[in-house]
Amino acid sequence: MDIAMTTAGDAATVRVSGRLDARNADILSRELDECVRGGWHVLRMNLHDVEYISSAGIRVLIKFAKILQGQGGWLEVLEPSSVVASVLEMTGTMPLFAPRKEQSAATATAGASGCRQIGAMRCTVTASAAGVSMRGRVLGNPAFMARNGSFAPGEVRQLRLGVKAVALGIGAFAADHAGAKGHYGEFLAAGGVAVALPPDSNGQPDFVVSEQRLVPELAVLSALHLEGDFAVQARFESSPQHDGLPGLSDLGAAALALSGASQAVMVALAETSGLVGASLLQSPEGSQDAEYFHFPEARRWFNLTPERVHGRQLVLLVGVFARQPAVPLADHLRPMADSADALRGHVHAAVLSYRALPGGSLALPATLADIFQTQTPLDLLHLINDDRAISGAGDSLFQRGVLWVSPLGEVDMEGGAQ
Amino acid sequence: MLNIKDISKTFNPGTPDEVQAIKHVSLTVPEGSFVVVIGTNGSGKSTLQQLIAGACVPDSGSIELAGQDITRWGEHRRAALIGRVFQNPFSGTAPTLSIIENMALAARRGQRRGLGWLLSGAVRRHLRERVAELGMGLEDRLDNAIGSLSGGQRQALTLLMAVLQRPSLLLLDEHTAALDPKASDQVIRLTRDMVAREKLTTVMVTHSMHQAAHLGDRLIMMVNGEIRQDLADERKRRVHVEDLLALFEQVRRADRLDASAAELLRSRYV
Repeated sequence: MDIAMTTAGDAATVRVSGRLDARNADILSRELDECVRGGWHVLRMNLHDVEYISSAGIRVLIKFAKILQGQGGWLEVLEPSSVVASVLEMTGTMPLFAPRKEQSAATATAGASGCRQIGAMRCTVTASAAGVSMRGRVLGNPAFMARNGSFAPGEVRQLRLGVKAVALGIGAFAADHAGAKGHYGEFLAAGGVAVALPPDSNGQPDFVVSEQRLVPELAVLSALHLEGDFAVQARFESSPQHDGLPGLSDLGAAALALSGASQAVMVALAETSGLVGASLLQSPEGSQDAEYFHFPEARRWFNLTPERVHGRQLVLLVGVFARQPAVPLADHLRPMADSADALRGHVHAAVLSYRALPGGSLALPATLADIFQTQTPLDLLHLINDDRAISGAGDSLFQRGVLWVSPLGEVDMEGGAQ
Repeated sequence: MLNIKDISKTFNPGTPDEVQAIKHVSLTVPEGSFVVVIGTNGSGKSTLQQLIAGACVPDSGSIELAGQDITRWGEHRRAALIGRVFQNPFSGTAPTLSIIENMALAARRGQRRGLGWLLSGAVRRHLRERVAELGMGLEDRLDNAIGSLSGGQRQALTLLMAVLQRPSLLLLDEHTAALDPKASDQVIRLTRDMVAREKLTTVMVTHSMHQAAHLGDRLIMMVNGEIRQDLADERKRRVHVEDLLALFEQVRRADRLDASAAELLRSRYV
């Protein structure tokens, strides 16, 4: 069997020749999977030279037709050989693969809004609303870690996170501090879904999805809590004019550019090429004089990825970016790179198994509800650009994805030590 | 019962090559318990094994086996109490002697054994039965030289020889690491059966996460000369290969977290 592929726009033409039996169907399935991961939403299968097709072959065609349908694309069969045509006819599957004339959802929206080049990325705005921004508040003071753990139980705040809330920080699913004790770790929340990584869970994140009257609730040591609507939704992918893939800093720069503000909230669903970050190994509360950032004690406190991990997965990113932020927001942001005018940010990432994102404009809550209905997050990381010379793992890298962005207005202080 | 109290061992002390291989390790293995020891290279798991076997002597601490303080006993003296199987299938048997001769030597382990011993018909029949239990058809080749057998067959025989005298302790030192997967499975099955049937007190060092997850009633993970994890009973039964790989990954990451990484976290983690 031979497989040859040519691409144009978001359509790929795949020419198959030879026998499409169980063994070859498996090979074809892997090739088509790469096509879908590569962002091609319309697959044109030219089966003119296929001399035999078994049920295994038909099953692959049906599988990808369904996957692409979920993404606003489709799979069509062109010039089937007489053998293929008669088998598809007999099985009644021919109409499923009928060639179409319309544009795919992704192409349609791209045509409507056009592309924007932002740094190393090509962004296509798929939805926008004028005059929208988010309000924010900070809870607790992350400086308790810099102060070596001199943290008082009275500093714990409760956070209930509705569908319009975006949040990240250190917390635990619990109704109060007593229930959260020993379980505080990184968390993120957006679109009605909250994910937290208790350090005592052997690396298994827990999650709560809003459903009817169930709302995720966390006890938090420190957090950024943003609320409101998103102003811009955009697709991004690596720009053909640039070598390399977009990193976290590029996403931050794009979030600011798309929001048109000096500080912005970003939620993203992205396909990863590799993530670099850290998570807590122990719940940080109640350890008086714990020297979190001292070497070698830091080894007991932090799990830092020594190289990029979780490549080729889907990731939910929640973050805030700003240039020259004011206090109290500034306390919760850190430089994204080692330079004087560096962009500052704070981003948490929940890692999910790969699945292709649907095309077109997406509603964040519905998209997340759909994903979390069948998936358990694999990991949660506080992303860190490890730009140390030689030994550094570098920045997190992404293939493509969807960004939801909003300008961040005033940020208030609530609770916590000054 | 094996009772290790606060033993330490440093190789090449006071030189640039100084290695603290074992740091204040204490471990009690009750009668009939099957302990699996895992660890990265240089974690001290092999040194621990050697200290138990008497191949080296601890700098401090004591080792008790079957109610006797064996800390200062030499390797040969301990052989009366300890059955050992090594990684190398060639090191547990005498290659030029026949299967039955090797077995007969093992049957007299810890006793005086001159070259003048005779194999009575009854002894031969008994040993033949034991060899037959291996299910490898070796009982019909009793007079063949051991050197003519495959690695898996030799390791199975070595295992049988090690348990023939029902030792107070069975020490297995990565005894399947040099075997192909099929022979390894076979030797592991024999190990499991023999230990269970004879209720042997066993300490097994392994590199195989699969063996570590599925064998024994207690799992010990060594890191930098110390016992990092000690999982027994219910916790041991719930362990999966993935959990062990995650533990190793955590250790690897901790080792990679150096002073510059700690500074990175200080400036970037919030």
